[in-house]
Amino acid sequence: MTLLEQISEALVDGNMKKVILLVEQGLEEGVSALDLLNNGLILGMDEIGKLWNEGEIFIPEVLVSARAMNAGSKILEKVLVSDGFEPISKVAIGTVKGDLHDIGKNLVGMMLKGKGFDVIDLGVDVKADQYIDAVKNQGAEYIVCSSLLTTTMMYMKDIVKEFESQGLRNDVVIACGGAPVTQEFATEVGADVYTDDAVTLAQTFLQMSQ
Amino acid sequence: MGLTSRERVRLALEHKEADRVPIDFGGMRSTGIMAMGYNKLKEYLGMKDGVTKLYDIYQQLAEPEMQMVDRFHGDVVQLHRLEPAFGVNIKEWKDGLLPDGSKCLVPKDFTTVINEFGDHEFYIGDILFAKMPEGGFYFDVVHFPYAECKTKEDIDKIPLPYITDEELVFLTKEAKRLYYETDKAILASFGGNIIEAGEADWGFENFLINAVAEPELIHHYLQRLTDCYMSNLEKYMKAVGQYIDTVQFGDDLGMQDSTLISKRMYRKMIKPYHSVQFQYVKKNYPKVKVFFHSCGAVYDLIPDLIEAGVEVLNPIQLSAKGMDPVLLKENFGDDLVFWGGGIDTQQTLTHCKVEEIEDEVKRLIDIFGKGGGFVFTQVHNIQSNISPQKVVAVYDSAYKHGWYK
Repeated sequence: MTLLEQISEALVDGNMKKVILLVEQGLEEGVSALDLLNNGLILGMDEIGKLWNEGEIFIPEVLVSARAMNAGSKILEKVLVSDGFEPISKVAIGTVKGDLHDIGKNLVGMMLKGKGFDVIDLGVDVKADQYIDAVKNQGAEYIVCSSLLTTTMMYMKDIVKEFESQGLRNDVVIACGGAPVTQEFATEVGADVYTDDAVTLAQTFLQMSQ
Repeated sequence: MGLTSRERVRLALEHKEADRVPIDFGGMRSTGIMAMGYNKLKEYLGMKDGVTKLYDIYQQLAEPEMQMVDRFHGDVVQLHRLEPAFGVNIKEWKDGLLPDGSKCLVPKDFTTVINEFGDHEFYIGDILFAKMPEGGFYFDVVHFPYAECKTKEDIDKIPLPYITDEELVFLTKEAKRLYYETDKAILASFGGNIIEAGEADWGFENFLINAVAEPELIHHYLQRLTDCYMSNLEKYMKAVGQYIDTVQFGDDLGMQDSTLISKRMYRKMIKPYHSVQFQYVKKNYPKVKVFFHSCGAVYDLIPDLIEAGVEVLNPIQLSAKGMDPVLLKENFGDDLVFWGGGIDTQQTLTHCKVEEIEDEVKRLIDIFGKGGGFVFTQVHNIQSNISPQKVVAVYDSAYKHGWYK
């Protein structure tokens, strides 16, 4: 098994310590940071996405692997920056105003990172102007609005409207998601993208950015 | 003579058809109505007297007054814990205001501060324990006492929620009052949460990660917690067991499209701690049914839940994947009483027109009601933005179509 395959496997196993050791070893042996990211960590996270979608693994296993992915990426981050690495695109994610539930939003972030996107996490209770700022000043090309509650999801309409009124609607792809959100609702609020799950959302964004 | 509410519910719990399907209007912390919605409902019904009590601060639920319960033909009342949420006791009340400015009583010890962003904050001592964001509808816990625990010794230092003598006195008095002064069935809100306790104590992600990465540590935490619960449960049941009809436990094991954890993890990490509590009740109080609340897509876990000792399942989240009413009734109707699933709240009540309600209620009563084993209530709490007209349509339809022929 190659070093990159070992990294992927350790990530799928959720073995953070092993991922750290192998990534450090790779850098010492002169493997490029981009190779370690794309063909080690991201490949492993892609496998996690597949296993999750197939019902082979569940949230706890995804979280453990994502933790390993984060630990590995952190080591690579500095090297990637100095190598002039450009992420596929920037995505700003958040749970909308009035809502503090972040597990779904975090899982979306993990899957997006696993596809090579740069993820700006705006956190929870996110207002329209924070999304606007992410697009205007931080270079986000995609935004993701999450909500767990039937009451707070209504705010997604305000977010779309705010982008319209500021003349920024065509500069951004807006996705909506969360337990009570459906395709019908997403269409109604004027979002561009809705998917049933985080894995498909990351795949959809990837296709859109190619 | 017709049946009393208590007799009606007991028949349903024994999987027998009563005169009609029993109705639960707000008799549990997931079958209720948010206080703001409750106030609007009172206004709509022209109920001018009485007071709205905010008994569940967390979910902002109102205690339905008996006049309201009777208006909707409710058959169930709730025996509360002394501290239903956030460790705030409900011994005494004071005037309070809801986020929409309408009036209610709140527990005397419940005080919040509004921060610079307009968020409501609730402190226990110096610790910021829960927060309701500006424009939000709920408080959510933001303090996780076990978050930094790395060893068993760290865990052992944190105090456990042992039941107090004061609470046992309160429970006995309340259970007797509900038993003798009403003819309603009594749902006793015990708790006994395992996975939800873990999520609340450690933080959601932190707990689930540790359940995979540090199973021994988590077992130690859960065993210690369950020992406390068992000590509480014995005293609790001794105090109220003779008065109550069902004792409520809960743990959200489902998400929108799957279970939260694998069957394997449920069996290894959670089920043993459910089982010991449920089996204790079944063995020692066979007349009191074991009620279990879990949101989400839990179909795949139901055989395990039944094996653990669950006899009544709530809320039957119809909009979650695989929660098909026909299949649920067909495959698990002999073993489980369905307490909920009377109408979908997440999609139907949120988006529907009033006139669409009756058909769904009738259809679900026809499915779940057959042969008893069904207590009508909507899936989870009615949110504050649901119109009173819809609430009335739900419960009037349930009463109209609930009669057994």
